[in-house]
Amino acid sequence: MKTFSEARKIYNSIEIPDELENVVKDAIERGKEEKRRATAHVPTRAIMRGSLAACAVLVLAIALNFITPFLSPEVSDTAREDAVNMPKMMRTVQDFGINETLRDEAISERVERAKAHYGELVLKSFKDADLNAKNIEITADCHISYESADILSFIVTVKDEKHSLTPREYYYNIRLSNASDITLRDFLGDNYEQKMKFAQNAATPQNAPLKDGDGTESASSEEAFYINERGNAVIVNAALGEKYEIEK
Amino acid sequence: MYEKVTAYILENREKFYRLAFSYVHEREAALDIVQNAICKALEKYHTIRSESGISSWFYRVLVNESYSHIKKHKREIAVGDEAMPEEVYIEKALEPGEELYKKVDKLPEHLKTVIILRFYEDMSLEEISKATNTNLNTVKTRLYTALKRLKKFVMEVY
Repeated sequence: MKTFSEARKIYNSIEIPDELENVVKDAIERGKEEKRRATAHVPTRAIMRGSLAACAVLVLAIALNFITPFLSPEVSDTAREDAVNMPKMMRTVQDFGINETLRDEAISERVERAKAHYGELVLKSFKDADLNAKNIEITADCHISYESADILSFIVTVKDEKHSLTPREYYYNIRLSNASDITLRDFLGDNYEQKMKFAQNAATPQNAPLKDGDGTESASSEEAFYINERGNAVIVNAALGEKYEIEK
Repeated sequence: MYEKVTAYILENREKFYRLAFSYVHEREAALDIVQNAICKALEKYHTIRSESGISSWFYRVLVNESYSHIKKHKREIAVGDEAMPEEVYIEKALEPGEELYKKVDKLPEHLKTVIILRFYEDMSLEEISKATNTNLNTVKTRLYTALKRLKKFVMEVY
């Protein structure tokens, strides 16, 4: 459009201040510094050694607390104090980012799982699996769709770099406190099937028949889903290429 | 991915500044918006799925930051002061496209954003949908509404 191109020239003539470059570079530097600080932690092995040691001491402290009254009715105040203070060591390990390690390990484990599964699918698609095993290069991208203090939801997109096969998405939802997988039932409650049906029907075009319980596959708590930035579940039906959102 | 994001930001910094400036019309405010958007974006760079998504992802952060700034700094318009002398206003002749530019500038933010990203930044409607985190149909509706409002100024030239 002619007039828009003229308006665009005016837009493009907005004067750029000299300090913009420095402002941008400073912001990027600050971002790098924050990244360095956020990822700086005691090396994993040290944390594991530290946490194992802390666990051992805690167990010992608990045992001592249990045993010593039988050994001697008079337990020194110092020993009691030490036993009470023991958990601090666990908190110190927490401060070094043990939750972050748990999170990262949970992500890594599932990324590897997704890659292994996809690799098997790729090999199955070739006639000569042995020959082509060396010729596949599986890579994965991880996108975090939702993260809170206790829940992490992410999508792993896996593809074979050497062949033009369709990439595949894997959806994971984890409870960070124990790195366990969250099912739809866990996330939406016992009436998850009802919520799914309602959302699915709302997403269906107006003229299409409504889905009901007769003759249709019953909803499973193991349905693929992820949690979006609004904290809602998004059910994925890869076969139909459908996604629909369920408000929590 | 981090390096790709920072390279993209450095390369396109002028575009980001112009977009921010188009909302706030103040140099310092626009610089603040760009700076804050970069900081926020770099905190969340790990959410980008692929290199092709960097642009719409960063524009989303920038547009949101611009809106937040406008909300936070809503100006109070001073009521006329009797002591101030009346200035003679002489309307200068407008350059081609200037009237349309001014009208675009006066559109409500959500309509202005679609026009700027579409006609000044050459983004596709799909990219605008991602950049504004709105449904594609909503983007189309907003574009249609904005063009309807601007129709008088677009048509007059032809």
